[in-house]
Amino acid sequence: MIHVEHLSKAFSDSKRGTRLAVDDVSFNVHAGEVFGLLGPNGAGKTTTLRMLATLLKPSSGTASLNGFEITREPEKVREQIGFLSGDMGLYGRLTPLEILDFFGKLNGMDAARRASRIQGLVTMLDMQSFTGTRTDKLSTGMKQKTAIARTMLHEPAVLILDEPTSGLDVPTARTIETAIVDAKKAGKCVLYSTHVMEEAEYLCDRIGVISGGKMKMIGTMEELRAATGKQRLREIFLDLLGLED
Amino acid sequence: MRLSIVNAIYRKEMLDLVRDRRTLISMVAVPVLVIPLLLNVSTRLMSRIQEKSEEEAKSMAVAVRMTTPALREALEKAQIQIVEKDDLKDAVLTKTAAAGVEEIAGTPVEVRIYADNSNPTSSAAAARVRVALDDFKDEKVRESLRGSGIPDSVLTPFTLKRVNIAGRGRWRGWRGEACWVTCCC
Ligand SMILES: Nc1ncnc2c1ncn2[C@@H]1O[C@H](COP(=O)(O)OP(=O)(O)O)[C@@H](O)[C@H]1O
Ligand SMILES: [Mg+2]
Repeated sequence: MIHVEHLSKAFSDSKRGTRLAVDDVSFNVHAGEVFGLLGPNGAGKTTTLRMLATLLKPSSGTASLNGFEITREPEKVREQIGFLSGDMGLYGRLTPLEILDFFGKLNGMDAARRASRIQGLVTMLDMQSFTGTRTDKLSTGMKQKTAIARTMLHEPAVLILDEPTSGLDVPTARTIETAIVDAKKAGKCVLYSTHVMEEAEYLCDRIGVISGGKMKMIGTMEELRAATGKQRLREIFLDLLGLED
Repeated sequence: MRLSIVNAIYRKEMLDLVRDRRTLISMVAVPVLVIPLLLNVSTRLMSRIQEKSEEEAKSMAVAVRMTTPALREALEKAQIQIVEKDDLKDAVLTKTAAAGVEEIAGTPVEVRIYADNSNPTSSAAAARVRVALDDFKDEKVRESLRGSGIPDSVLTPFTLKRVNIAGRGRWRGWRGEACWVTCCC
């Protein structure tokens, strides 16, 4: 489903010169799998996800989603994905219902499908109490639920979620985690980034630990344990980063 | 792009716009409030300038160079101060006279009025001169016709008088506009 090969991205600015934000990263994510990109701040998670969502051009390397290459067929790639960016990208003066309906139309969904799909997401994400409130008056958690619903609305084959639970309280984060598990059960391919260990441990089939733009290790929890000789993900993570707990 | 998508984007943008107070205010309030306000202020300013120049024109002399005493008398009858000058144009341009009047011999006699139209006082003075000389010309024509036995009621069917009431009514118009603006918002 997602196939990433030697992907790199260099940024150059006058102060820091040219730096590799993503450095020769390769991994695969299959249908019905949740892959977690785990890394500290500035590791290159967002940059990687933005390249896969065709919002950034890679400096080198290639990637394909559902068989479509990100630089050659960006439009096709965009049809395959639901992308949740860190800034959520909601319209403050519209209500969640209006936003969902608008994105449904943009994705060519007919009225009946929009209505039933929106109804389903609102129930699943427990959004009933605020669907008619302007988004700029909602809490962070409510906004994030709206953004997740928008990402999943058109039932894309691939979900790319950038820190979907960051800054949320436990019940809200749990609702979102449940939505991710449901998407996986429905056969979706989920790639998401986080720096929350417990969440990655609980949710991911496989984890890729990224730091300084480099993929340090990829594997299931068992594989990571075997490779590092550590038990908990926190210990494994610090070990891979070369830090002591 | 498909028409349904264009339509969806259009509707979303309109909804967004209608709920955006700040943009709405700048789109509606500026034309409805600020433009009439500017118009009103500029109209009042213009009429103030005009009034002032008419006052000034009354107190300033008009430079003349003419030989027919009747013409001079006509100006004096209209309470226009006159002063003899050789170079009329220079007098007007250097503002030593508000306007210039020159009589050029011939049949008929030509009377030239010199004014500096970039100076409102000069224009106002020239207008006063023109009215005085027009009245004088009308009177002359009337006199000759009267001699041919045409009755006065035909020669003067009505008289005309302009009255400026700006001083009294100035605020009435403004309040009317302000009220209209309130209704619209
Ligand atoms: N547009 C950009 N221009 C320059 N540098 C950037 C840009 N975006 C990200 N970076 C840099 O790339 C590195 C990785 O950033 P990012 O991918 O956002 O990290 P993460 O999401 O893992 O916290 C950081 O050092 C960041 O400063
Ligand atoms: Mg990030």
